[in-house]
Amino acid sequence: MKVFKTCNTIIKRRITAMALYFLIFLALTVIMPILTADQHTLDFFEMKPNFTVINRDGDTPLSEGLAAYLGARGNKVVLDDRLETLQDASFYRATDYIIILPQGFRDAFFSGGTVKIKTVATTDSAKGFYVDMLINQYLNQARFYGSPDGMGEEALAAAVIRDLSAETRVETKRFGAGAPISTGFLIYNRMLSYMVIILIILCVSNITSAFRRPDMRMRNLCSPLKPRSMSLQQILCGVLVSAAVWVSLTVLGFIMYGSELAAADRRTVGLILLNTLVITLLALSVASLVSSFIRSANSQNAAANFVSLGLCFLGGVFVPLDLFGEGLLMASRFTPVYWYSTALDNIFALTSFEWGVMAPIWQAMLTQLIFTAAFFCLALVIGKHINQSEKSFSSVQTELDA
Amino acid sequence: MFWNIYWKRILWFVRNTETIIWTWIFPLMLATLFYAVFTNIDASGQFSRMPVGVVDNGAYRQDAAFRAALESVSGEGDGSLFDLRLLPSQGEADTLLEKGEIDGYILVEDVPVLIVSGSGLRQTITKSFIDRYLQTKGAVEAVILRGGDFESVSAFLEPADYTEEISLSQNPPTEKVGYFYALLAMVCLYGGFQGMTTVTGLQANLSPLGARRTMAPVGRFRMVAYDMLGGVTTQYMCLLVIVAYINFVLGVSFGPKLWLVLLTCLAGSLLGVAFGAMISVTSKLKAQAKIAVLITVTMVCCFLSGLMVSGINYTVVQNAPAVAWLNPAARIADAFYCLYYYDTYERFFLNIGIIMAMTTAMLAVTAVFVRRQRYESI
Repeated sequence: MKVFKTCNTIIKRRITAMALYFLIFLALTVIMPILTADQHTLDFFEMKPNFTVINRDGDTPLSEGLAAYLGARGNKVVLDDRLETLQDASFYRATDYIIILPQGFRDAFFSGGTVKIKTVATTDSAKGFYVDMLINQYLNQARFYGSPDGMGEEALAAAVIRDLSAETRVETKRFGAGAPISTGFLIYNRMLSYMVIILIILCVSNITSAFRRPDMRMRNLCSPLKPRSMSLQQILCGVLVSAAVWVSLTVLGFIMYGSELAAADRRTVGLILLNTLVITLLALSVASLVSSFIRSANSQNAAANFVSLGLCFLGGVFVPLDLFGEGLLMASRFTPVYWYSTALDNIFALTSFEWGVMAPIWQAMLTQLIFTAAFFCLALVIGKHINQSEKSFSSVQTELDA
Repeated sequence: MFWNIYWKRILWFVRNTETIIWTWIFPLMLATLFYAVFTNIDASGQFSRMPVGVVDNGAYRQDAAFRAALESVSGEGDGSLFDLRLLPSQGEADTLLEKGEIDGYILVEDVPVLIVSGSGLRQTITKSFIDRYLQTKGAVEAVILRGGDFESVSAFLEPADYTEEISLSQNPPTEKVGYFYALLAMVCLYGGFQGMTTVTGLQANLSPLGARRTMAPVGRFRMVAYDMLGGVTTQYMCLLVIVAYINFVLGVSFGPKLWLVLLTCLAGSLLGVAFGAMISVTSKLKAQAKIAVLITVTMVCCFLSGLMVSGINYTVVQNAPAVAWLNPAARIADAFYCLYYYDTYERFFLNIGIIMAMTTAMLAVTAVFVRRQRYESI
């Protein structure tokens, strides 16, 4: 096992660089789900859009009642009445809906005038539509009471809110055996595929490029070790590195989301683990293929970034597949990560474990394995071709040449 | 002498495949991927008709008012809320809900009940519609009980629209452009490779070229300035190609003032080159380690400027304004954003001023370290 021991020595020498890569990508994988995941609960809860009230009409019971009514159904975001502040908040979705109560609105409203509330929302946004509904419901209810002269404006606003307190009963049906798994864990598993691919490419190419140094290759080829044995020992090291990456990320996932997974169906969690194991094998095959073309440390970095970002962008890791156009979706079917994302989405949407429901998941995993086998075969063919080529003995650079 | 150094610097770039990959091909590939996957990103929160079921039982058939209310907001027309499906039984409704073919279904017993399998905005809007029906029904019944007239009741039956949508800018807000602006900020900071090359090629302890140049009969300041100018030129050319590709091929808008976009690219190129020179000159690491530091710092700055998560730059501004204002990538991305979304130019020029101030400070630090360097041995 001399080659295997040498692989370990290479890893030990480059452990700092590998650890740096691991930490950078780990930070990304941990931060992304935290920033983008939705609330996780088993019971029905109303989505609360962020809204801002800019009151240019002064504080009146009518406007305060409106703010209170919306506050119970959304999250109030306080902003200054400055154009730049409102533009920034609207552009970066800090608030989903800005309500500008124009001067004289209260008087016009009670006198039956036509002064309207100015609103800012993303065109055709569902959240904008929802807040529109709420505002009109509040004001139409207030209109019913007509003038506040008789009962007083504060009593009117209180009566409107009381009228609008009637709520529909909502029942939540659970179809799966266990509790649903949080979207945070879904996003973590999506990001995991990116991390697995880039880390395994970087680690495996680091190991193999050392063996492809011309002087080392010439020396090894005249040694008593068979080329097959050398290749197998390198593959074994690659498998162990891949396993280490997979175990680390899986354990991290359980540490971060363990409490949310406790109530989930064990079979669902098992399927998620199986899917991540399949993508790890796929990443190893991609790394074997990519390593064949790597000539220097810089091209190693470039190749790892190009391949991992390309596969993951097209595979629906960073942006859900639902948002892809028809043409792009068709193209992404020819990338392996698409099948990983598809399997993952189907696993998270599982409601039963019948064959009909499970079939798309097995199909997606099988497709990944077919890609894996194809990439391994291609890597072997290219490796053989490169071994027989005279040029290969003078085209690999390592840090010793630099 | 100027043309000699300047031209050779440009030739070096053209012949250096790795720098071309990182500053040219990699951003072009990322821009293409961004375009491919972010084209429909703004559609993610858009409203569309919701598939909702209603169990067609006896109670539903008898509740004419609710039936009329549901039918008035269902169908194909404008203002339609629901793609309503009449379902013969609750079992059928459960099957469709399990398959995800409907967002939820309504079961009318004494009052309508909403049955869902999860939470979301679509379910919330459906609930809100039924709430509205129940509230209106309650109010109308109260009016009738109090002996109210037809005019009072009609206030509920013909609701008025009190809102009017306005726009805060001539260009629509879109999440898509932020990614491209952060990408351009990344390309600007990748100009650090140029600055790093300038320093490496001038320091005798870092490269054979540096050793030869140290002995050349040319003033150090002039040599650094000419070389750096060559680096800025190549970096600026890279940015122009990428901006042209993003603007004219991918169709991403930069606002109406294209010459100000070019000015931002120039300021960003200067900043990037100065940034790389400063990182290179202030540390005694090996070339590979310096590249690792440059890429790591660039990626952290770009992450905080919104390259990976849209809107994170706004969060940083709200929670740690000093970090946002000192982040070179955030200032470059913000300058592009101002050109796109603002109708005025105060903040744009403030950004350009900060970028130039950072560049000056970085060049000053570089000058302090490069000045009068002597080597006892190399």
